[in-house]
Amino acid sequence: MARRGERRRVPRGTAILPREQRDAPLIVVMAILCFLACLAGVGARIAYAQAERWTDSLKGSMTARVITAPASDSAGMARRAAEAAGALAGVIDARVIDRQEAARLLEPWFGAGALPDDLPVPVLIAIDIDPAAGVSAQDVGAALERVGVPAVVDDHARWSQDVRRVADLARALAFGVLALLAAAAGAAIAFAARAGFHARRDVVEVLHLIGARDDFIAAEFERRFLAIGVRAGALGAVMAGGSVYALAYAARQPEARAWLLPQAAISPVDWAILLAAPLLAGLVAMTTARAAVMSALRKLA
Amino acid sequence: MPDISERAPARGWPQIGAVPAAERPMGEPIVRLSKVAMRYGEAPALRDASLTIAPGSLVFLTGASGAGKSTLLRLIYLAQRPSEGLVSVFGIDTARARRPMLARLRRRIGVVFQDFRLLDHLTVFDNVALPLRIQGLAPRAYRQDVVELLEWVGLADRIGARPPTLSGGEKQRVAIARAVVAKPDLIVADEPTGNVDPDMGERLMRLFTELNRVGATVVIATHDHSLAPRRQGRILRLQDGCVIEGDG
Repeated sequence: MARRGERRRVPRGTAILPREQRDAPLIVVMAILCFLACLAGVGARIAYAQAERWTDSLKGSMTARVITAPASDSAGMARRAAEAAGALAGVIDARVIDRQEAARLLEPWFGAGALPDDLPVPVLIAIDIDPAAGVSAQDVGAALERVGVPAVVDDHARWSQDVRRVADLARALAFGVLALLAAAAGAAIAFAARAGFHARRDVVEVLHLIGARDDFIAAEFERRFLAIGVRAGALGAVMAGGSVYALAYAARQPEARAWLLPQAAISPVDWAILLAAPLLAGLVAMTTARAAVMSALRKLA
Repeated sequence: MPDISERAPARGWPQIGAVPAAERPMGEPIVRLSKVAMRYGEAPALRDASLTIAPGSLVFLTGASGAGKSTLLRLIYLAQRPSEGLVSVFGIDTARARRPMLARLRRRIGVVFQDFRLLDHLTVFDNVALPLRIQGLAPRAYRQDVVELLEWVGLADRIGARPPTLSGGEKQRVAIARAVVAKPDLIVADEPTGNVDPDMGERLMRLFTELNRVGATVVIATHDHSLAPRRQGRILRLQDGCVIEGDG
Protein backbone atom coordinates (compact mmCIF):
# COMPACT_ATOMS: atom_id res chain seq x y z
CA MET A 1 0.00 0.00 0.00
CA ALA A 2 1.22 3.46 -0.76
CA ARG A 3 1.85 5.38 2.42
CA ARG A 4 0.25 8.70 3.18
CA GLY A 5 1.61 11.52 1.03
CA GLU A 6 3.12 9.17 -1.55
CA ARG A 7 1.81 8.85 -5.05
CA ARG A 8 0.95 5.51 -6.54
CA ARG A 9 1.14 6.89 -10.06
CA VAL A 10 4.50 7.12 -11.80
CA PRO A 11 6.08 10.44 -10.81
CA ARG A 12 7.48 12.87 -13.34
CA GLY A 13 11.27 12.98 -13.65
CA THR A 14 12.86 15.51 -11.30
CA ALA A 15 16.15 17.36 -11.54
CA ILE A 16 19.07 15.01 -10.95
CA LEU A 17 20.92 17.57 -8.84
CA PRO A 18 19.17 18.50 -5.61
CA ARG A 19 18.19 22.13 -5.12
CA GLU A 20 20.39 23.85 -2.59
CA GLN A 21 19.28 26.60 -0.23
CA ARG A 22 22.83 27.92 -0.41
CA ASP A 23 22.11 29.05 -3.99
CA ALA A 24 20.12 32.01 -2.62
CA PRO A 25 23.12 34.03 -1.34
CA LEU A 26 24.90 33.37 -4.63
CA ILE A 27 21.95 34.78 -6.56
CA VAL A 28 22.02 37.90 -4.35
CA VAL A 29 25.78 38.41 -4.81
CA MET A 30 25.51 37.88 -8.56
CA ALA A 31 22.50 40.18 -8.81
CA ILE A 32 24.48 42.95 -7.06
CA LEU A 33 27.42 42.40 -9.43
CA CYS A 34 25.08 42.49 -12.41
CA PHE A 35 23.43 45.66 -11.07
CA LEU A 36 26.83 47.36 -10.82
CA ALA A 37 27.86 46.04 -14.24
CA CYS A 38 24.67 47.39 -15.82
CA LEU A 39 25.22 50.76 -14.14
CA ALA A 40 28.80 50.80 -15.43
CA GLY A 41 27.62 49.94 -18.95
CA VAL A 42 24.82 52.49 -18.96
CA GLY A 43 27.12 55.05 -17.31
CA ALA A 44 29.70 54.56 -20.07
CA ARG A 45 26.99 55.04 -22.68
CA ILE A 46 25.69 58.21 -21.02
CA ALA A 47 29.20 59.66 -20.63
CA TYR A 48 29.92 58.97 -24.28
CA ALA A 49 26.59 60.36 -25.50
CA GLN A 50 26.89 63.47 -23.37
CA ALA A 51 30.44 64.13 -24.59
CA GLU A 52 29.23 63.74 -28.18
CA ARG A 53 26.39 66.14 -27.50
CA TRP A 54 28.66 68.75 -25.98
CA THR A 55 31.33 68.53 -28.66
CA ASP A 56 28.79 68.40 -31.51
CA SER A 57 27.14 71.56 -30.27
CA LEU A 58 30.53 73.26 -30.01
CA LYS A 59 31.82 72.04 -33.36
CA GLY A 60 29.24 74.08 -35.30
CA SER A 61 29.84 77.39 -33.58
CA MET A 62 32.45 80.05 -32.91
CA THR A 63 32.41 83.19 -30.81
CA ALA A 64 34.24 86.37 -31.78
CA ARG A 65 34.91 88.95 -29.07
CA VAL A 66 35.41 92.36 -30.63
CA ILE A 67 38.23 94.34 -29.05
CA THR A 68 36.94 97.84 -28.52
CA ALA A 69 38.53 101.02 -27.19
CA PRO A 70 36.58 103.19 -24.67
CA ALA A 71 35.75 105.85 -27.26
CA SER A 72 35.15 103.57 -30.21
CA ASP A 73 31.84 102.84 -31.95
CA SER A 74 31.36 99.39 -30.54
CA ALA A 75 27.91 98.93 -32.11
CA GLY A 76 29.22 99.79 -35.56
CA MET A 77 32.26 97.53 -35.13
CA ALA A 78 30.01 94.71 -34.06
CA ARG A 79 27.75 95.17 -37.07
CA ARG A 80 30.72 95.25 -39.47
CA ALA A 81 32.20 92.18 -37.84
CA ALA A 82 28.93 90.26 -38.17
CA GLU A 83 28.62 91.24 -41.84
CA ALA A 84 32.22 90.29 -42.59
CA ALA A 85 31.93 86.95 -40.84
CA GLY A 86 28.56 86.23 -42.44
CA ALA A 87 30.05 86.82 -45.89
CA LEU A 88 32.61 84.04 -45.45
CA ALA A 89 31.99 80.76 -47.32
CA GLY A 90 30.94 78.04 -44.87
CA VAL A 91 29.42 80.46 -42.38
CA ILE A 92 25.70 79.87 -41.97
CA ASP A 93 24.90 82.79 -39.73
CA ALA A 94 26.71 85.51 -37.83
CA ARG A 95 24.89 87.80 -35.43
CA VAL A 96 25.68 90.26 -32.73
CA ILE A 97 24.87 89.25 -29.18
CA ASP A 98 23.31 92.40 -27.88
CA ARG A 99 23.16 93.52 -24.26
CA GLN A 100 19.67 92.02 -23.72
CA GLU A 101 20.77 88.61 -24.92
CA ALA A 102 23.99 88.82 -22.90
CA ALA A 103 21.92 89.72 -19.84
CA ARG A 104 19.72 86.65 -20.44
CA LEU A 105 22.79 84.40 -20.74
CA LEU A 106 24.14 85.79 -17.48
CA GLU A 107 20.83 85.35 -15.66
CA PRO A 108 21.86 82.10 -13.89
CA TRP A 109 24.68 84.03 -12.18
CA PHE A 110 23.23 87.54 -11.70
CA GLY A 111 19.52 86.81 -11.54
CA ALA A 112 16.73 88.13 -13.75
CA GLY A 113 17.10 91.88 -14.49
CA ALA A 114 19.92 92.24 -11.98
CA LEU A 115 22.73 92.97 -14.43
CA PRO A 116 24.12 96.39 -13.39
CA ASP A 117 23.72 99.00 -16.14
CA ASP A 118 27.28 100.21 -15.73
CA LEU A 119 28.78 96.73 -16.01
CA PRO A 120 30.70 96.51 -19.28
CA VAL A 121 29.51 93.56 -21.34
CA PRO A 122 31.87 92.25 -24.01
CA VAL A 123 30.83 92.74 -27.63
CA LEU A 124 30.29 89.24 -28.93
CA ILE A 125 29.48 87.83 -32.35
CA ALA A 126 27.86 84.37 -32.44
CA ILE A 127 28.88 82.58 -35.60
CA ASP A 128 27.21 79.38 -36.77
CA ILE A 129 29.28 77.41 -39.26
CA ASP A 130 28.97 74.32 -41.35
CA PRO A 131 31.42 71.91 -39.62
CA ALA A 132 32.07 70.22 -42.98
CA ALA A 133 33.19 73.49 -44.64
CA GLY A 134 36.46 73.66 -42.74
CA VAL A 135 36.22 77.31 -41.67
CA SER A 136 38.85 77.96 -38.98
CA ALA A 137 39.08 80.60 -36.26
CA GLN A 138 42.05 82.09 -38.16
CA ASP A 139 39.88 82.51 -41.29
CA VAL A 140 37.24 84.39 -39.32
CA GLY A 141 39.88 86.48 -37.48
CA ALA A 142 41.49 87.45 -40.82
CA ALA A 143 38.12 88.41 -42.30
CA LEU A 144 37.42 90.69 -39.35
CA GLU A 145 40.90 92.21 -39.59
CA ARG A 146 40.20 93.03 -43.24
CA VAL A 147 37.23 95.22 -42.25
CA GLY A 148 39.27 96.85 -39.47
CA VAL A 149 37.72 95.08 -36.54
CA PRO A 150 40.25 93.49 -34.17
CA ALA A 151 38.77 90.43 -32.48
CA VAL A 152 39.60 87.30 -30.55
CA VAL A 153 37.90 84.31 -32.19
CA ASP A 154 37.26 81.22 -30.09
CA ASP A 155 36.33 77.99 -31.84
CA HIS A 156 35.92 76.19 -28.43
CA ALA A 157 38.64 73.71 -29.45
CA ARG A 158 40.26 73.66 -26.02
CA TRP A 159 36.90 73.21 -24.23
CA SER A 160 35.89 70.55 -26.72
CA GLN A 161 39.17 68.65 -26.24
CA ASP A 162 38.79 68.81 -22.46
CA VAL A 163 35.27 67.42 -22.66
CA ARG A 164 36.38 64.69 -25.07
CA ARG A 165 39.32 63.74 -22.83
CA VAL A 166 37.15 63.51 -19.70
CA ALA A 167 34.47 61.54 -21.56
CA ASP A 168 37.04 59.13 -22.99
CA LEU A 169 38.49 58.63 -19.51
CA ALA A 170 35.01 58.07 -18.01
CA ARG A 171 34.23 55.56 -20.74
CA ALA A 172 37.55 53.72 -20.23
CA LEU A 173 36.91 53.66 -16.47
CA ALA A 174 33.41 52.29 -17.04
CA PHE A 175 34.76 49.51 -19.26
CA GLY A 176 37.48 48.80 -16.69
CA VAL A 177 34.86 48.55 -13.93
CA LEU A 178 32.79 46.33 -16.22
CA ALA A 179 35.76 44.00 -16.77
CA LEU A 180 36.52 43.89 -13.04
CA LEU A 181 32.89 43.13 -12.21
CA ALA A 182 32.78 40.38 -14.83
CA ALA A 183 35.97 38.91 -13.35
CA ALA A 184 34.52 39.16 -9.83
CA ALA A 185 31.29 37.52 -11.00
CA GLY A 186 33.27 34.77 -12.74
CA ALA A 187 35.36 34.13 -9.61
CA ALA A 188 32.26 34.09 -7.39
CA ILE A 189 30.52 31.65 -9.72
CA ALA A 190 33.59 29.40 -9.98
CA PHE A 191 33.82 29.35 -6.19
CA ALA A 192 30.11 28.60 -5.91
CA ALA A 193 30.27 25.92 -8.60
CA ARG A 194 33.09 24.16 -6.78
CA ALA A 195 31.23 24.46 -3.49
CA GLY A 196 28.09 23.19 -5.22
CA PHE A 197 30.06 20.32 -6.69
CA HIS A 198 31.44 19.33 -3.29
CA ALA A 199 28.03 19.75 -1.62
CA ARG A 200 26.58 17.37 -4.21
CA ARG A 201 29.63 15.16 -4.37
CA ASP A 202 27.65 12.06 -3.34
CA VAL A 203 25.27 12.59 -6.24
CA VAL A 204 28.14 13.25 -8.65
CA GLU A 205 29.94 10.09 -7.52
CA VAL A 206 26.85 7.95 -8.03
CA LEU A 207 26.32 9.43 -11.50
CA HIS A 208 30.00 8.89 -12.27
CA LEU A 209 29.95 5.28 -11.09
CA ILE A 210 26.84 4.30 -13.00
CA GLY A 211 28.43 5.50 -16.21
CA ALA A 212 27.51 9.14 -16.65
CA ARG A 213 29.93 10.93 -18.95
CA ASP A 214 31.70 14.01 -17.62
CA ASP A 215 29.74 16.06 -20.16
CA PHE A 216 26.45 14.77 -18.79
CA ILE A 217 27.35 15.65 -15.20
CA ALA A 218 28.76 19.03 -16.23
CA ALA A 219 25.58 19.72 -18.22
CA GLU A 220 23.51 19.22 -15.05
CA PHE A 221 25.60 21.89 -13.29
CA GLU A 222 25.53 24.10 -16.41
CA ARG A 223 21.73 24.05 -16.44
CA ARG A 224 21.58 24.87 -12.74
CA PHE A 225 24.05 27.75 -12.99
CA LEU A 226 22.53 29.06 -16.23
CA ALA A 227 19.25 29.40 -14.34
CA ILE A 228 21.02 31.07 -11.40
CA GLY A 229 22.85 33.47 -13.74
CA VAL A 230 19.73 34.41 -15.69
CA ARG A 231 17.73 35.03 -12.51
CA ALA A 232 20.55 37.07 -10.94
CA GLY A 233 21.12 38.98 -14.20
CA ALA A 234 17.42 39.79 -14.52
CA LEU A 235 17.29 40.97 -10.91
CA GLY A 236 20.39 43.14 -11.40
CA ALA A 237 19.06 44.56 -14.68
CA VAL A 238 15.71 45.48 -13.11
CA MET A 239 17.49 47.23 -10.22
CA ALA A 240 19.82 49.05 -12.64
CA GLY A 241 16.94 50.01 -14.93
CA GLY A 242 15.05 51.45 -11.97
CA SER A 243 18.11 53.38 -10.81
CA VAL A 244 18.81 54.81 -14.28
CA TYR A 245 15.16 55.78 -14.65
CA ALA A 246 15.26 57.53 -11.26
CA LEU A 247 18.50 59.29 -12.26
CA ALA A 248 17.01 60.34 -15.61
CA TYR A 249 13.96 61.71 -13.82
CA ALA A 250 16.07 63.65 -11.30
CA ALA A 251 18.48 65.04 -13.90
CA ARG A 252 15.90 66.18 -16.44
CA GLN A 253 16.15 69.94 -17.08
CA PRO A 254 14.33 72.53 -19.15
CA GLU A 255 15.75 72.85 -22.67
CA ALA A 256 17.54 76.10 -21.80
CA ARG A 257 19.70 74.41 -19.15
CA ALA A 258 19.83 70.96 -20.70
CA TRP A 259 23.48 71.37 -21.60
CA LEU A 260 24.51 71.57 -17.94
CA LEU A 261 23.79 68.07 -16.63
CA PRO A 262 24.03 64.80 -18.56
CA GLN A 263 20.51 64.04 -19.81
CA ALA A 264 20.16 60.44 -18.68
CA ALA A 265 17.14 59.31 -20.67
CA ILE A 266 16.99 55.51 -21.17
CA SER A 267 18.04 54.95 -24.78
CA PRO A 268 17.72 51.84 -26.98
CA VAL A 269 21.39 51.10 -26.21
CA ASP A 270 20.58 51.10 -22.48
CA TRP A 271 17.67 48.74 -23.10
CA ALA A 272 20.02 46.48 -25.03
CA ILE A 273 22.52 46.52 -22.13
CA LEU A 274 19.77 45.77 -19.60
CA LEU A 275 18.25 43.01 -21.72
CA ALA A 276 21.66 41.47 -22.45
CA ALA A 277 22.58 41.36 -18.75
CA PRO A 278 20.58 38.20 -17.85
CA LEU A 279 21.83 36.40 -20.94
CA LEU A 280 25.45 37.39 -20.34
CA ALA A 281 25.22 36.55 -16.62
CA GLY A 282 23.72 33.16 -17.50
CA LEU A 283 26.41 32.53 -20.08
CA VAL A 284 29.23 33.50 -17.68
CA ALA A 285 27.69 31.35 -14.92
CA MET A 286 27.24 28.39 -17.25
CA THR A 287 30.73 28.41 -18.75
CA THR A 288 32.44 29.08 -15.42
CA ALA A 289 30.49 26.29 -13.73
CA ARG A 290 31.38 23.90 -16.55
CA ALA A 291 35.09 24.70 -16.25
CA ALA A 292 35.01 24.28 -12.46
CA VAL A 293 33.06 21.01 -12.58
CA MET A 294 35.13 19.49 -15.40
CA SER A 295 38.28 20.32 -13.46
CA ALA A 296 36.85 18.67 -10.31
CA LEU A 297 35.61 15.63 -12.28
CA ARG A 298 39.06 15.00 -13.73
CA LYS A 299 40.23 14.31 -10.18
CA LEU A 300 37.85 11.33 -9.99
CA ALA A 301 39.07 7.98 -11.40
CA MET B 1 6.79 -8.54 1.51
CA PRO B 2 6.45 -10.65 -1.64
CA ASP B 3 9.16 -13.20 -2.39
CA ILE B 4 10.91 -11.21 -5.07
CA SER B 5 13.13 -14.06 -6.21
CA GLU B 6 10.21 -16.28 -7.15
CA ARG B 7 7.85 -13.75 -8.70
CA ALA B 8 8.37 -13.02 -12.36
CA PRO B 9 7.29 -9.64 -13.74
CA ALA B 10 4.25 -9.63 -16.01
CA ARG B 11 6.33 -9.49 -19.16
CA GLY B 12 8.91 -12.05 -17.98
CA TRP B 13 12.21 -11.65 -16.11
CA PRO B 14 14.43 -8.79 -17.14
CA GLN B 15 16.63 -9.97 -19.98
CA ILE B 16 20.00 -9.30 -18.50
CA GLY B 17 22.99 -10.27 -20.61
CA ALA B 18 22.69 -11.72 -24.09
CA VAL B 19 22.08 -15.42 -23.47
CA PRO B 20 22.02 -17.74 -20.46
CA ALA B 21 25.47 -18.65 -19.19
CA ALA B 22 25.13 -22.32 -20.06
CA GLU B 23 24.57 -21.49 -23.74
CA ARG B 24 27.24 -18.82 -23.92
CA PRO B 25 30.60 -19.69 -25.51
CA MET B 26 33.48 -19.29 -23.10
CA GLY B 27 35.59 -16.43 -24.45
CA GLU B 28 37.59 -13.62 -22.98
CA PRO B 29 37.15 -13.25 -19.23
CA ILE B 30 34.88 -10.38 -18.27
CA VAL B 31 37.26 -9.41 -15.47
CA ARG B 32 40.98 -10.13 -15.22
CA LEU B 33 43.28 -9.00 -12.45
CA SER B 34 46.98 -9.76 -12.65
CA LYS B 35 49.43 -9.07 -9.80
CA VAL B 36 47.33 -6.13 -8.63
CA ALA B 37 48.47 -4.03 -5.69
CA MET B 38 46.47 -1.25 -4.13
CA ARG B 39 47.68 1.06 -1.41
CA TYR B 40 45.97 3.82 0.53
CA GLY B 41 48.95 5.93 1.50
CA GLU B 42 51.41 3.46 3.00
CA ALA B 43 48.78 0.89 4.00
CA PRO B 44 48.42 -1.93 1.43
CA ALA B 45 44.81 -3.04 0.81
CA LEU B 46 45.71 -5.55 -1.92
CA ARG B 47 49.03 -7.08 -2.92
CA ASP B 48 49.69 -9.45 -5.75
CA ALA B 49 45.98 -10.17 -6.29
CA SER B 50 45.17 -12.12 -9.44
CA LEU B 51 41.89 -13.58 -10.70
CA THR B 52 39.80 -14.09 -13.79
CA ILE B 53 36.01 -14.07 -13.98
CA ALA B 54 34.38 -15.78 -16.94
CA PRO B 55 31.21 -14.46 -18.58
CA GLY B 56 28.05 -15.79 -16.98
CA SER B 57 29.70 -16.91 -13.76
CA LEU B 58 28.47 -16.38 -10.21
CA VAL B 59 31.35 -15.45 -7.93
CA PHE B 60 31.30 -15.03 -4.16
CA LEU B 61 34.12 -12.98 -2.74
CA THR B 62 34.58 -13.75 0.93
CA GLY B 63 37.02 -12.74 3.59
CA ALA B 64 37.22 -11.05 6.95
CA SER B 65 36.34 -7.42 7.40
CA GLY B 66 39.19 -5.28 6.06
CA ALA B 67 40.57 -8.11 3.91
CA GLY B 68 40.23 -5.91 0.79
CA LYS B 69 36.91 -7.12 -0.63
CA SER B 70 35.55 -3.62 -1.14
CA THR B 71 38.82 -2.46 -2.65
CA LEU B 72 38.77 -5.36 -5.11
CA LEU B 73 35.18 -4.57 -6.04
CA ARG B 74 36.02 -0.85 -6.48
CA LEU B 75 38.69 -1.86 -8.96
CA ILE B 76 36.20 -4.08 -10.80
CA TYR B 77 33.45 -1.46 -10.99
CA LEU B 78 36.04 1.15 -12.02
CA ALA B 79 35.83 3.46 -9.04
CA GLN B 80 39.61 3.27 -8.76
CA ARG B 81 42.63 2.43 -10.84
CA PRO B 82 45.26 0.08 -9.39
CA SER B 83 48.53 1.27 -7.86
CA GLU B 84 50.27 -1.63 -9.62
CA GLY B 85 49.35 -4.52 -11.88
CA LEU B 86 46.72 -5.06 -14.54
CA VAL B 87 42.96 -4.70 -14.17
CA SER B 88 41.12 -5.62 -17.34
CA VAL B 89 37.33 -5.30 -17.57
CA PHE B 90 35.55 -6.43 -20.73
CA GLY B 91 39.02 -6.83 -22.26
CA ILE B 92 40.03 -3.18 -21.62
CA ASP B 93 43.06 -2.30 -19.49
CA THR B 94 41.43 0.16 -17.09
CA ALA B 95 44.71 1.91 -16.25
CA ARG B 96 45.15 2.92 -19.87
CA ALA B 97 41.52 3.53 -20.82
CA ARG B 98 40.49 7.10 -21.51
CA ARG B 99 37.67 8.64 -19.50
CA PRO B 100 34.93 8.30 -22.15
CA MET B 101 35.83 4.61 -22.50
CA LEU B 102 35.66 4.13 -18.72
CA ALA B 103 32.18 5.72 -18.73
CA ARG B 104 31.09 3.29 -21.46
CA LEU B 105 32.46 0.34 -19.46
CA ARG B 106 30.71 1.52 -16.30
CA ARG B 107 27.38 1.46 -18.14
CA ARG B 108 27.87 -2.26 -18.67
CA ILE B 109 28.28 -2.79 -14.91
CA GLY B 110 25.45 -2.70 -12.39
CA VAL B 111 26.63 -1.92 -8.88
CA VAL B 112 24.81 -2.57 -5.61
CA PHE B 113 26.71 -0.44 -3.15
CA GLN B 114 27.11 -1.52 0.45
CA ASP B 115 25.53 1.75 1.60
CA PHE B 116 22.99 1.73 -1.30
CA ARG B 117 23.96 5.23 -2.47
CA LEU B 118 20.41 6.16 -3.37
CA LEU B 119 19.75 9.82 -4.10
CA ASP B 120 17.54 11.08 -1.31
CA HIS B 121 15.94 13.90 -3.31
CA LEU B 122 14.75 11.54 -6.05
CA THR B 123 11.78 9.22 -5.88
CA VAL B 124 12.15 5.44 -6.00
CA PHE B 125 11.14 5.60 -9.67
CA ASP B 126 13.74 8.25 -10.51
CA ASN B 127 16.47 6.43 -8.58
CA VAL B 128 15.84 3.23 -10.50
CA ALA B 129 15.55 5.06 -13.83
CA LEU B 130 18.82 6.93 -13.33
CA PRO B 131 21.06 4.58 -15.40
CA LEU B 132 18.60 4.82 -18.29
CA ARG B 133 18.33 8.56 -17.95
CA ILE B 134 22.09 9.05 -18.20
CA GLN B 135 22.03 6.99 -21.38
CA GLY B 136 19.80 9.67 -22.83
CA LEU B 137 16.59 7.63 -23.00
CA ALA B 138 13.34 9.55 -22.92
CA PRO B 139 11.02 8.79 -19.98
CA ARG B 140 8.40 7.27 -22.27
CA ALA B 141 11.01 4.77 -23.46
CA TYR B 142 11.76 3.39 -20.00
CA ARG B 143 8.67 4.20 -17.90
CA GLN B 144 7.03 0.82 -18.45
CA ASP B 145 10.26 -1.15 -17.83
CA VAL B 146 10.96 0.68 -14.57
CA VAL B 147 7.42 0.22 -13.30
CA GLU B 148 7.58 -3.47 -14.15
CA LEU B 149 10.95 -3.88 -12.47
CA LEU B 150 9.62 -2.17 -9.34
CA GLU B 151 6.65 -4.52 -9.35
CA TRP B 152 9.10 -7.39 -9.66
CA VAL B 153 11.04 -6.31 -6.57
CA GLY B 154 7.79 -5.69 -4.70
CA LEU B 155 8.05 -1.90 -4.57
CA ALA B 156 5.24 -0.91 -6.93
CA ASP B 157 3.44 0.78 -4.04
CA ARG B 158 6.49 2.84 -3.09
CA ILE B 159 7.15 4.20 -6.56
CA GLY B 160 6.78 7.85 -5.52
CA ALA B 161 8.46 7.47 -2.13
CA ARG B 162 11.84 8.97 -1.37
CA PRO B 163 14.68 6.91 0.13
CA PRO B 164 14.63 8.48 3.62
CA THR B 165 11.14 7.01 4.10
CA LEU B 166 12.16 3.47 3.06
CA SER B 167 13.20 0.60 5.30
CA GLY B 168 16.65 -0.99 4.93
CA GLY B 169 15.25 -3.89 2.92
CA GLU B 170 13.31 -1.56 0.63
CA LYS B 171 16.40 0.55 0.01
CA GLN B 172 18.35 -2.59 -0.78
CA ARG B 173 15.75 -3.64 -3.36
CA VAL B 174 15.74 -0.17 -4.94
CA ALA B 175 19.54 -0.38 -5.17
CA ILE B 176 19.29 -3.78 -6.83
CA ALA B 177 16.62 -2.57 -9.25
CA ARG B 178 18.83 0.37 -10.19
CA ALA B 179 21.77 -1.99 -10.72
CA VAL B 180 19.89 -4.27 -13.11
CA VAL B 181 17.56 -1.85 -14.92
CA ALA B 182 19.98 -1.12 -17.77
CA LYS B 183 20.54 -4.86 -18.33
CA PRO B 184 24.25 -4.82 -17.48
CA ASP B 185 26.64 -7.61 -18.45
CA LEU B 186 28.22 -7.59 -15.01
CA ILE B 187 26.53 -7.12 -11.63
CA VAL B 188 28.72 -6.28 -8.65
CA ALA B 189 27.23 -6.31 -5.15
CA ASP B 190 29.13 -5.21 -2.07
CA GLU B 191 27.76 -6.89 1.08
CA PRO B 192 24.21 -6.90 -0.30
CA THR B 193 22.89 -8.71 2.76
CA GLY B 194 24.79 -6.65 5.30
CA ASN B 195 21.92 -4.33 6.19
CA VAL B 196 18.97 -6.71 6.14
CA ASP B 197 17.64 -9.48 8.34
CA PRO B 198 18.62 -13.11 7.54
CA ASP B 199 15.30 -13.86 5.87
CA MET B 200 15.61 -10.86 3.56
CA GLY B 201 19.27 -11.72 2.98
CA GLU B 202 18.32 -15.18 1.80
CA ARG B 203 15.69 -13.76 -0.56
CA LEU B 204 18.15 -11.27 -2.02
CA MET B 205 20.70 -14.02 -2.60
CA ARG B 206 18.08 -16.04 -4.43
CA LEU B 207 17.44 -12.96 -6.57
CA PHE B 208 21.13 -12.67 -7.52
CA THR B 209 21.22 -16.40 -8.33
CA GLU B 210 18.20 -15.86 -10.58
CA LEU B 211 19.81 -12.89 -12.31
CA ASN B 212 22.85 -15.05 -12.97
CA ARG B 213 20.65 -17.84 -14.28
CA VAL B 214 19.20 -15.50 -16.91
CA GLY B 215 22.65 -14.50 -18.14
CA ALA B 216 24.35 -11.86 -15.99
CA THR B 217 27.80 -12.32 -14.55
CA VAL B 218 27.42 -11.68 -10.82
CA VAL B 219 30.15 -10.90 -8.31
CA ILE B 220 29.08 -10.69 -4.67
CA ALA B 221 31.30 -9.67 -1.80
CA THR B 222 30.13 -11.00 1.56
CA HIS B 223 31.66 -11.54 4.94
CA ASP B 224 28.83 -13.99 5.72
CA HIS B 225 30.56 -17.34 5.08
CA SER B 226 27.29 -19.21 5.42
CA LEU B 227 25.67 -17.59 2.39
CA ALA B 228 28.01 -18.75 -0.38
CA PRO B 229 28.28 -22.52 0.19
CA ARG B 230 24.50 -22.92 0.09
CA ARG B 231 24.31 -22.18 -3.63
CA GLN B 232 26.12 -22.93 -6.85
CA GLY B 233 28.92 -20.56 -7.70
CA ARG B 234 32.60 -20.00 -7.43
CA ILE B 235 34.01 -18.90 -4.09
CA LEU B 236 37.08 -16.70 -3.84
CA ARG B 237 38.62 -15.78 -0.52
CA LEU B 238 40.66 -12.68 0.16
CA GLN B 239 43.40 -13.10 2.70
CA ASP B 240 46.33 -10.79 3.40
CA GLY B 241 45.56 -8.83 0.24
CA CYS B 242 45.77 -11.94 -2.00
CA VAL B 243 42.97 -13.88 -3.74
CA ILE B 244 42.69 -17.58 -2.86
CA GLU B 245 40.45 -20.00 -4.78
CA GLY B 246 37.84 -21.74 -2.58
CA ASP B 247 36.55 -20.94 0.88
CA GLY B 248 39.56 -22.49 2.59
